[in-house]
Amino acid sequence: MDNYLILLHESNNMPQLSPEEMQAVIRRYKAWGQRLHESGSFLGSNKLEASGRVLRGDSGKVRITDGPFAETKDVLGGYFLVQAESYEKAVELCRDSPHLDFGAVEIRRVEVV
Amino acid sequence: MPAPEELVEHLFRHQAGRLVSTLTRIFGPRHLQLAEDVVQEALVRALELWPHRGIPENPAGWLIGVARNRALDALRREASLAAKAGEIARVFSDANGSAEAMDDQLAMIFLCSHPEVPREARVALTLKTVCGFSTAEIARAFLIQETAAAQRIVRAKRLVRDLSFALPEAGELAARREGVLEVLYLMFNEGYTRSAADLCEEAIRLGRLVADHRDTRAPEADALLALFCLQAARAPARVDAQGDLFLLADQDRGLWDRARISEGMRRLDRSAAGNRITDYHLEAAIAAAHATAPDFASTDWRFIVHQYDLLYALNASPVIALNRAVAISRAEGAAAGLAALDEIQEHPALARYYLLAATRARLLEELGDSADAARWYARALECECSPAERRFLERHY
Repeated sequence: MDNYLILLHESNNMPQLSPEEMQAVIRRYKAWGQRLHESGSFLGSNKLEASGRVLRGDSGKVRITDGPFAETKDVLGGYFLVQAESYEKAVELCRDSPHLDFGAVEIRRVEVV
Repeated sequence: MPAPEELVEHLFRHQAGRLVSTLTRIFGPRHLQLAEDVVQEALVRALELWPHRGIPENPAGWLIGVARNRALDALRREASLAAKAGEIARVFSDANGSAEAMDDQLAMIFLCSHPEVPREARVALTLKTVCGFSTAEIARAFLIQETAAAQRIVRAKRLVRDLSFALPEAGELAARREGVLEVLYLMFNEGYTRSAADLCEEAIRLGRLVADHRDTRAPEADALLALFCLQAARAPARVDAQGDLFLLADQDRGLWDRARISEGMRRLDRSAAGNRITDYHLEAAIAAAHATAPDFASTDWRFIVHQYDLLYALNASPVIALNRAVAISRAEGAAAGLAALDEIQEHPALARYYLLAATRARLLEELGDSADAARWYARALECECSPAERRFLERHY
């Protein structure tokens, strides 16, 4: 078993959802989270703030800027940490994630040395 | 009992209506948009956090708490509202202040139905504010473009800016309540015609607020609610999984919602308290005659024809005359029904009304005149109607 970080990217212009639609989306995330729990894969999850600080070493000095690291349209909205036997299994866990309607899901294995 | 972390159906929609109403009372109708923005922010916050943290133990309380904080933030930006902070803190400190929340929603309904607001915008504004519908959902409900719906709502909001949020004084209450009931009637009808259960359910929810509140209750409000309940009770049998319509005669009455029928009959009893018979009383009586008939054959059509006679006397509308003709055809036979139809055949308001042609077609069919019947079914298909109604006609054509 390895640990995998599931990164939830989302586009800056999320669609304007109605209250009823928001509730439906939450229900789908909840069902997905429950499946992760039931399969014993779930280790943790958190939302990330939309922006933060980026530090860069600049000839001996540290330069600190605001913002997401990459100047793309996507922001990293949050993450799930799961355990799975392989990338294939980790992909399987995410295939029915409701997040796919709002942005990309990136999976990265935590490398153990 | 749902598990604690299970969301009650329509929780977001109803909390949105409740919170927007209360914030509009506190901020004043001038700041309706601000109230909506604050509530939207609170709901979006839940959308961002709950997928990760799970649904909190008291979801409604959570939303109310976040809305309070967002409202206080808004007050800091809007100097003219600074004095409202105490009221915000008081109202939103008690998550169970439901009586006050009901009062606010009721006042909001009256505000949306104010005579200053054009008729066609009243339902839209009510759905937007008290029912938590988005502009897109309203546009879908009325089969209009989203931009058109948005314009209607923006204009209506401008018109309520300087109105008082409080319920009307006793002197004008009856007239204003009539306006409110008309809005609910339109909302329900729109939902019933398009089999859009959401609109019907909201009309029932708001109808209960009006009919059960000590300041606004009235026999005609009970009559209207009776009508809603009795009609909605049949909804499960009216449309199948494919969205195809079933006529009363073909419906599986076992699917009718018994609890709804009981509520409807209870409301109908209560509606007899006054000394005035309204359209709503008569329509509810007709719906009750259907809802309590054990099967189609034992429907009391003579009673129904009589109710239509009374209804037509109150309101000489050609649509009522058409329905009366249908009832006559059941009570006295297809020929009598056709004769009643002849009286309104040339009515200009019905020229493009598919039900007139479809009814004539069906009565001709019953009389064995299938060639003429086919001609009238074709005429009906040329008129405007919903997709479900169109499929129904095509099945019988």
